[in-house]
Amino acid sequence: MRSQMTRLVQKNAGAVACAFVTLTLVVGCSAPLSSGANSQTTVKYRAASKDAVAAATDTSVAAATGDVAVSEGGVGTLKGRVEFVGDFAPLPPLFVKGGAAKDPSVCGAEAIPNESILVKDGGLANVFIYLDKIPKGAVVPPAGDPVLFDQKVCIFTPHAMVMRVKQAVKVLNADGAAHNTHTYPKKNSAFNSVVQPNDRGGVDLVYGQAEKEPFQVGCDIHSWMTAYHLPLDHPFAAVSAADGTFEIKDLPAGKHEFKVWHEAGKMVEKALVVEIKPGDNNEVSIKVPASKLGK
Amino acid sequence: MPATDDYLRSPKLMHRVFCASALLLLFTTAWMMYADNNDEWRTYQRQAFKYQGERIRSREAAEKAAPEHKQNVAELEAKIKAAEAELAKRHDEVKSLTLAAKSASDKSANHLRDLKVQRARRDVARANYNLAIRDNLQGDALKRRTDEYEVVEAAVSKMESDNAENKLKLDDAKASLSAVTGERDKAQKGLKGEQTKIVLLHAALNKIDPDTLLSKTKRNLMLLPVIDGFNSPERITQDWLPRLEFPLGGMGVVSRFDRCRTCHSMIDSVDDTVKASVAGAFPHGLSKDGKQTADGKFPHPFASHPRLDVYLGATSPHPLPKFGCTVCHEGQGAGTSFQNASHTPNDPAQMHEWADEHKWFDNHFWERPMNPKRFEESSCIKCHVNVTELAVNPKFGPTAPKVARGHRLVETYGCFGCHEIQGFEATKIIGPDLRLEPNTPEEAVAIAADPNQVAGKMRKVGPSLRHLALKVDAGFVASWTEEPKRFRPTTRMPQFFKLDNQSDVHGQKFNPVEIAAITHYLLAKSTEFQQNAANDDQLAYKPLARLLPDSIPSAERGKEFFATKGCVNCHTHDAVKGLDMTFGPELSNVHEKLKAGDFGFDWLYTWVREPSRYHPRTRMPAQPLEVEKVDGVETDPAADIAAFLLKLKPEEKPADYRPMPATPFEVPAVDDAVLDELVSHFLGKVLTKSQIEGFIKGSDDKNKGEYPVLADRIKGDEIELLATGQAELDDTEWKNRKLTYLGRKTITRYGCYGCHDIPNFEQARPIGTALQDWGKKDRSRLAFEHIHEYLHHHGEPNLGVKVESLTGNAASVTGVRVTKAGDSNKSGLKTGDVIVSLDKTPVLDIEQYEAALARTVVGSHVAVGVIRDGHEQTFTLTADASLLDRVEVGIGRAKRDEFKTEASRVREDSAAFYVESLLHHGRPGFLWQKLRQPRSYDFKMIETKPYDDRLRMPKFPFSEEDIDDIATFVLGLVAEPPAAEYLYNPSGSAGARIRGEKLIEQFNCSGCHMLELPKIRYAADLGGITATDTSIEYPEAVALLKKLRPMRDGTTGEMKSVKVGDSMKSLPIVQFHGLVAGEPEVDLPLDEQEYVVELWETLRVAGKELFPTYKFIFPATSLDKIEAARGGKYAEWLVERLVNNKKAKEKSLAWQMSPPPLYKEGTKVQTPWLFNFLKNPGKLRHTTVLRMPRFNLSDEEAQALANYFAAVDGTPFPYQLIEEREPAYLNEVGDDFDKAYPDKKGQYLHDSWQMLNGDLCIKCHSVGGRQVVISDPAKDIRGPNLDLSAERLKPDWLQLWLFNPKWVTPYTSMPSPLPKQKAGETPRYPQLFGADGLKQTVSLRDALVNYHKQLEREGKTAEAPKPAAATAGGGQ
Repeated sequence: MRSQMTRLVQKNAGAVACAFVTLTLVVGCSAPLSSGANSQTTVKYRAASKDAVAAATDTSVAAATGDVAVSEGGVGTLKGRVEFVGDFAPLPPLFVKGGAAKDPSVCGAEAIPNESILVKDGGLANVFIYLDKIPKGAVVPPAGDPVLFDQKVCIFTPHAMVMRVKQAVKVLNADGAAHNTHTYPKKNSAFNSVVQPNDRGGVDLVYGQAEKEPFQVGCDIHSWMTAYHLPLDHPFAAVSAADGTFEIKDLPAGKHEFKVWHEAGKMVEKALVVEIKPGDNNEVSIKVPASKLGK
Repeated sequence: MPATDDYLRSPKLMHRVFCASALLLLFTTAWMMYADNNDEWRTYQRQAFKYQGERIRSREAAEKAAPEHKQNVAELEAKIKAAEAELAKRHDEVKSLTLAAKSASDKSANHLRDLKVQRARRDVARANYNLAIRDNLQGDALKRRTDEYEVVEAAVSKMESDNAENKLKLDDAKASLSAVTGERDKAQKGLKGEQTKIVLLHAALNKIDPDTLLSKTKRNLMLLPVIDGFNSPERITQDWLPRLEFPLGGMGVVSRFDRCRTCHSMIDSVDDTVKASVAGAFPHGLSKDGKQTADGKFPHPFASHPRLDVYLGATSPHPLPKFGCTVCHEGQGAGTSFQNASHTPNDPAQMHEWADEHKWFDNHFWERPMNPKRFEESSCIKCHVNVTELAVNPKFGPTAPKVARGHRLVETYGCFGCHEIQGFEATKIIGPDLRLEPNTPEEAVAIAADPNQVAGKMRKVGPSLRHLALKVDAGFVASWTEEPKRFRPTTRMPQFFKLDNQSDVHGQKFNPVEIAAITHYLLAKSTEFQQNAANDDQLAYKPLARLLPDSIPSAERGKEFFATKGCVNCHTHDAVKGLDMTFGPELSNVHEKLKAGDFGFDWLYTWVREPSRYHPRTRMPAQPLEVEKVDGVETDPAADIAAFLLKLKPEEKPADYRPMPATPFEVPAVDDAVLDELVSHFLGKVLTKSQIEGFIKGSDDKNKGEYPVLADRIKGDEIELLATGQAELDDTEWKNRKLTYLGRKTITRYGCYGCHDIPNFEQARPIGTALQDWGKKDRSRLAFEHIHEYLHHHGEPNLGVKVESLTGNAASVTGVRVTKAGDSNKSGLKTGDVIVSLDKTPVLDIEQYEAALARTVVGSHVAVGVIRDGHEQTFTLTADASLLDRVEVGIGRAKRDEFKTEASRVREDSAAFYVESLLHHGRPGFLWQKLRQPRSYDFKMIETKPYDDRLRMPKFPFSEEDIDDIATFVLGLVAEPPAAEYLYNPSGSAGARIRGEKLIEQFNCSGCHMLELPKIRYAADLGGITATDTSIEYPEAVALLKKLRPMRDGTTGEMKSVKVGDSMKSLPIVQFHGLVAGEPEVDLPLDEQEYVVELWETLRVAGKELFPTYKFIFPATSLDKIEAARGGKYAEWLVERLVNNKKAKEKSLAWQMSPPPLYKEGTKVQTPWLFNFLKNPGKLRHTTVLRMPRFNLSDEEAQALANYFAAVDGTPFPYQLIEEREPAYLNEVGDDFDKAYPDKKGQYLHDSWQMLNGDLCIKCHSVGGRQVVISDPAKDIRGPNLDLSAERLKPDWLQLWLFNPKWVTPYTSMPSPLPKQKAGETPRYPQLFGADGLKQTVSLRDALVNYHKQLEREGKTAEAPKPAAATAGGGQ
């Protein structure tokens, strides 16, 4: 009975628990197995006191002692959209259907799109919006369940993702051909492993260090395959969706400096200052001129 | 005269005289004894005793004061006390036990005494019996003796048994006693042990400085004269070195006796307070007062040797008893005073100091003065004839870098072309060997066949001039010959003309004709262009056909090729900056010199593609330059590079090339009269005056130009004066013939062939003095001539003015301002003039001014750009001032401590030293001046000398530092070979290393390849280091990694204090080899900047095991030092360039496009394969932008290099057994396989082959006859073809690579093909080896090692094998 109860609480916790005192551990807050692009884990705050800063850096202490409800100023959600400014003609695919030379029976099944700049209704996809460091006072829960990183028709999905440090990334393969998933991180050791054809169990990829910037993931067998990963030691990050929209929850109220990064233009904004008020905030519009993406 | 009783002299007076003389005699005797006893060395020994005593005393005090010691002593004493108190309570018991023990002991001892007597009796009886046997006694007599023996023996036997019993009883008694007193006894023993060190120290101290009156008296008594002959504490210490003989200058040899330790008594004292230490107990250091300094440093002669690990130490390669001192330091080993030991000061300042302190003077009569500090490395080359190991030494580092650099300079500048350095006497090694290799194959064969000769090994350092006419025109040859640095300031070619002894009328008149003659000879004798040579195109020069004859080469592409094909690894060019390589010539203005049109272009094209075609002994390698596609266009890289170097404009064809010299090249005009004068002068050596006249002008019986001697009787260069037959003797032919003769004569005179291959000089011998024993050349045989007079007013490149930098001035001019014009008449410069350029080089400040001046040739004209009154003018001046003045000023500045930089102080000190030596007719001084201004010894000599006797040594572009290094080397050349056991010419791996290092230097291998990775040291927070997770690896893989790359301890034992947060913390320094993956971001605040470094080795740090690819992330402030990689500058540069140019997406991919580090290459490749690869490198990697070029290596050189890499990594060479190919191994794995999979009996290799040819490897490698599919050659990673692995790679390495390639090469794109799986994961290839990843990985190795056998058995693979048991890929 008791365990059922707990589960029930946990199920609804997504909406409720994060804003309130949760005496149970943080596990309840983590989102279920997700594709990762916009995965959010719930965050708790300690009351802004003198030792808050010290405590913030030590999650284990925070988790053990239990936290106070909300930071003094409250938390807010940042919603926004990344807009591409300028004329955009969709990029031609890297290979038309059946055009891929390597493993044509698998990779040629569909056209291979050029995902380096994707614009839909003026919204720019695959833009990383993230905080460099954990904001003062925020207590970060441990990373949640594994996220999935798939390879299908010789394309990585998702193309861009953020994950938490020590959070398992399951590298899957839906193709009938082997891929070798090869990461190029700065501070983590490179990961380079063969993923067998049709491997749905996946190979575990875990980052031990937070990175400063997203880095490339490739496949040496199919050199066109690219994706971008960004492991962080906090959840205040998002990747813009196909229409350019993004959402970051549970930000402590106050001024924050966001980094905005896109693969074609790299660091588009070094410090995008946004003032967060408790609750919902006005939608932010991030404008990325074509020139910044080399267009 | 009658005798009287009177005294002749007054007795009284006589008594006085007698008394006085007796007293005088007594006094004299006393004085003599005092003087005899008052040796200089005693003072030093007494002082040494004092220092030693102080050290022992302080150590004793420290031992006593050590808290641990104190605590132990206190504890033990307390224990003793407690135990004794306890014993006191059981007093009676103890007493009775003690008594019992004593009585048992007494009893035993008494009994033993009797027993010994009885034993002796028994022995007598036995001896008597033996005598009886000898005397052949029979019957009763013998029986009696036997009986006697048996009686005594029975008694002894009884007593022996009693004795044994006594012993047992005694032991029992002792045991019962110690059962009671054990505690106390143990504690007492412990206390004694605890104090042993102190007792020993005190005993040592007692010998030096006794503390009892009796000992003191005894010691002082021993010091008295006469008595001191009997083991006095003060005495001469002597090292006898019978095998290191001391030559007595032609009067034979004697054993060496070194008495240096008499004064330098602590020279070999090791600091034994630290375990296994090789540090000196008395480190050297100086204080102003020359006394012991506060920080525990000691002055000479009390200091220990600074490198006891290398010298003198018992475990060092030069232990004191075997080597002594003077074999390295020279000097008079037998001398026991400062002067007699023949110390030599390092500079005049020290000389004056010594003269004051030790009454030192320069003694001409010592043939072997000690080496001054600057030449302390000279003697190394007596035994270390290969020199290389003195600069690169795996164990000790560079131990004698200066002499090694001198050696290298001699090699690089080709001094041996004129000055042979014979390293052999017949086949016996006598010193370093620097001689030219045989000039012709015939000569080489002859030397090889002669058992008494060893061929030279050095190549000529200059290019071959055999086909010169194909490359350049006469104007360039003349201009270059006259002054090479005019065209190329960085050239290594020395200058022969426009020097001191040629500025007179004769020189001015003859030099242009000589230059024209050389030019004429070289071009006239240049081998013809053999367009149609059919088979001998390797011998005769013939340009290579361009690969794409119709395409127009592009300079722009050429620039890129120049950068990426490795050219900049040796050459510099203004257009491709960033690497400052000086191995090959600078090429920025090569477009000014080549022949116009296709000629010059094709020459360069051919040179780029196949240098040995033009110059068979060139060190320039042939880079494989095949047609390749750039942006979809087929290009010929060599043509593009040629177009770039010749600065062709777009759309310009090779035929459009025109040389564009900055100043036009001209051949000097030849005055016929001067030509005749010179020809006559030289003919004067072989012909009579009338013969010459007749030859030049014609005579009654001979026509003009008809040589009066028959061809077969001409030995020398005059052969060129014979008519060739066809040509009629018109004016041109006559002049040409004379020019050819004069050219040949001049080349003979200047010895040009010492560096260049020149037709007709194949048999010519080097012209200079041989140098193998120059280091001991008699001073009287050095021709100093009028050098002192010269140096009074010459010898210093200086304009004779004082200048200052113009700084902070509003004026638009930058330069140096003349502040004092000095001898204005001489220089023409006035105070206030601003010098803006020297010799066409802009001068911006005083440093540049001095550097430009130092480059000028003293006495020659220099163009000086000056701004005077707002107008720029150019003066032609002579930069020549007094060297003696300079030295005087330098000494003054040194005294006043005025030097701003250490480098300038050292330079001026050196100059003063050499000038001092020169003034005293020393060898170093002679050499120094000879290399600075070779012709200055002709000062005021040319007036009375025949023209062709003038000095001919050219002026090399050496700096004074270079000369200092060269002098260190040359002065060490004494040709006094040590006894064989001292000669260091190792075979085996040490020898292979030495030979390999030499070749690496000669062929610049380390330009492209990193031989050792950068060494990083930082202060580590050990807690923050997490061990590499090995749970995800096969245990076999981990074991193999540790075997091939043994774990090294990363901690250094050193500490560094760094800022952590707000406080300073002392952290241990960790040291490892790796590549910096992330530099600190400078725009971040300092405390947030960090380094990310990827580890390349296996390291143990604080008990944690770290494997390659581990990333060290540490704050920038924690960095202690990054020691640059050994070699690989070009690779690093290319990686940066490829990343910046976006040719590579990632740094790790850029590394795959660049020359690989040769890290642990010996564990990787098979030596025979490497030999073949070095001889003829094939294409291995498909990812690189350039390929390994083909070097001009002989078989011997290629073998030596291949062996080198094996030797460095301690693997066997030259052959390796490949066990995985042997039946023993294959049967064993086959049996295991058969047992595991009975239905596949005998198919081990077959299944391995299936594994290799499955769907995985083929993704990137061509294998089993199938070609890899490539979608985009520029982006796709293509691995090496797998048919190469069997012969190339060592099986263990291959296995490790297959387990985890990143461990071997962290940047590789190769994934682990079959990593360890977790329980529950989808099995891979279930039909093969039961899906066991470990077995599968091993099978891949075995398939690769047996590749060729298996390919023959299985045939080419058409497509991925699909065993019936599974679907494609096998992963489901």
